[in-house]
Amino acid sequence: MVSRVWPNASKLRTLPLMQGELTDEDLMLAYGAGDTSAFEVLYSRHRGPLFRFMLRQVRDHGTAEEMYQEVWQRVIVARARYRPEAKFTTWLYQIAHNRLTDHWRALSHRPPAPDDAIERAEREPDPSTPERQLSAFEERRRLQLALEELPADQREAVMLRLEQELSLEEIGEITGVGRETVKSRLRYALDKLRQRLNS
Amino acid sequence: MTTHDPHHEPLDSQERELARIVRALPGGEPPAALDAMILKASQDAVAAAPNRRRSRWLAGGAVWGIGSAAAAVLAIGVGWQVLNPSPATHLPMPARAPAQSAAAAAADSANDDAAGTTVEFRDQPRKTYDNSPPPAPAETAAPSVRARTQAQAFPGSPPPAPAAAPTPPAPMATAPAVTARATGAINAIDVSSVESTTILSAEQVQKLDKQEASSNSASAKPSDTAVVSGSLGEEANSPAALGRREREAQSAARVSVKAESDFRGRPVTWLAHIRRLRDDGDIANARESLGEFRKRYPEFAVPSDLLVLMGP
Repeated sequence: MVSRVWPNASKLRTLPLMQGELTDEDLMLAYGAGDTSAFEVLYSRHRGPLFRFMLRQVRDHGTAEEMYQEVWQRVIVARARYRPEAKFTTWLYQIAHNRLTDHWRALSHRPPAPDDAIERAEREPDPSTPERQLSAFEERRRLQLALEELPADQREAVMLRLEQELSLEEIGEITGVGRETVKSRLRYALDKLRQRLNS
Repeated sequence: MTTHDPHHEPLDSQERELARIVRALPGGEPPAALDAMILKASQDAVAAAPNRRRSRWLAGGAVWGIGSAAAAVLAIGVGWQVLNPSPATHLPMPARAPAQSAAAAAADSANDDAAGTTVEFRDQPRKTYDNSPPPAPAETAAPSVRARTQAQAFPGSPPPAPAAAPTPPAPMATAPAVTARATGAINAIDVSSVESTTILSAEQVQKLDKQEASSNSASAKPSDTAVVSGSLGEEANSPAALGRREREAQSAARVSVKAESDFRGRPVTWLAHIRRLRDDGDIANARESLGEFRKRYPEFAVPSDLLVLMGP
């Protein structure tokens, strides 16, 4: 599927030298200079993580796709202004964060819990029952529920940390808060996730 | 993702365990149609970029052009100021080349201040008139010269009466010739000055002719009236009379050259004119001109060499 969608990118990806040497920043600069194949490589690197990040935040496929497309559109528009003063990942997720902030502001409230949150919780097997066997599936379900119950700022921080492996400074840069605030959000979020998984 | 990460903070064991589960969560990837749409947008943006780049370049070129023009104007201005120093900083210049026109000297003199009335400035006009005859008597030329001078130099002063009304028309046959001679003798005047000087010279010639006719009444002929009225008689056409008229015309022209020049905004030039009148012996005109100068420029200190003209 990948090679069908962006054949040039697939060609580039077949070159280990290029794939290994070209950083995200190099690719973005190349795209800013007019190299569309550089964008294809860059896109291939970040499409999955970014989409998941958006989906985890808004928890709606349609909204996630719409916002995901807007984020990339902003990257395309800002290609000439891009300066590698920060990691491309930081810049990309900063755009995503701003888009999410606009989204939350438009909704004027934090994202509500999913409509079927109670049913999900009820379907969750009782850990005290002997038949309970935590499979990988169950594990993912619990974590997903735990993530959905988190406040948006904590969920955003923990997703940037766990899925993107960004540092506290980078998360703070993306979300516009200080390192200590990020640290606090992460601590609360991780505690809740662990609590959920171990419950 | 990236090969450099100076602030990388690796996940600890608990975070790694959670990250493993998070990455395994469903929801994976964007749809292929969305991928295609985004990639097409990226290509379309680049395809449309050259025009915009050229526009920006052109806009930048325009800015550069405007900037270059402004810089050129500034450079020319600075160069002009350097080559033509302001009066306050003007030092005596070396003597001009003889070939340099007196008109240039007159133009340059506008930049001289009182302290800058250098030897060169005062000498240059004199050199121009060194070969000219002594000036006409002040009583002869002064009235019309003063009137013209005031009219030209003091635009604020009431305009003089029309020259044509009190004086008879200048002889048409004489005026051009006199004008040509006068103009040839005084290269230091510009075109406008030449034109006004021409009229004065003709008037001077007429007055001189009248005086000559009255002084030579014994040998007067009926045609003298015609001389006065504008047609030259036989005696007026004699070589001696012509030479005299020419000298007088040159003298009158010399007196009137600077008087006819526009002294507006050029007090130094005016002072030079006063000096020239003084040096030529036309003390009355020099005094009167100095008086007008003091009225015009009360804040301007009269040079010490001209203070004698202010006395009784």
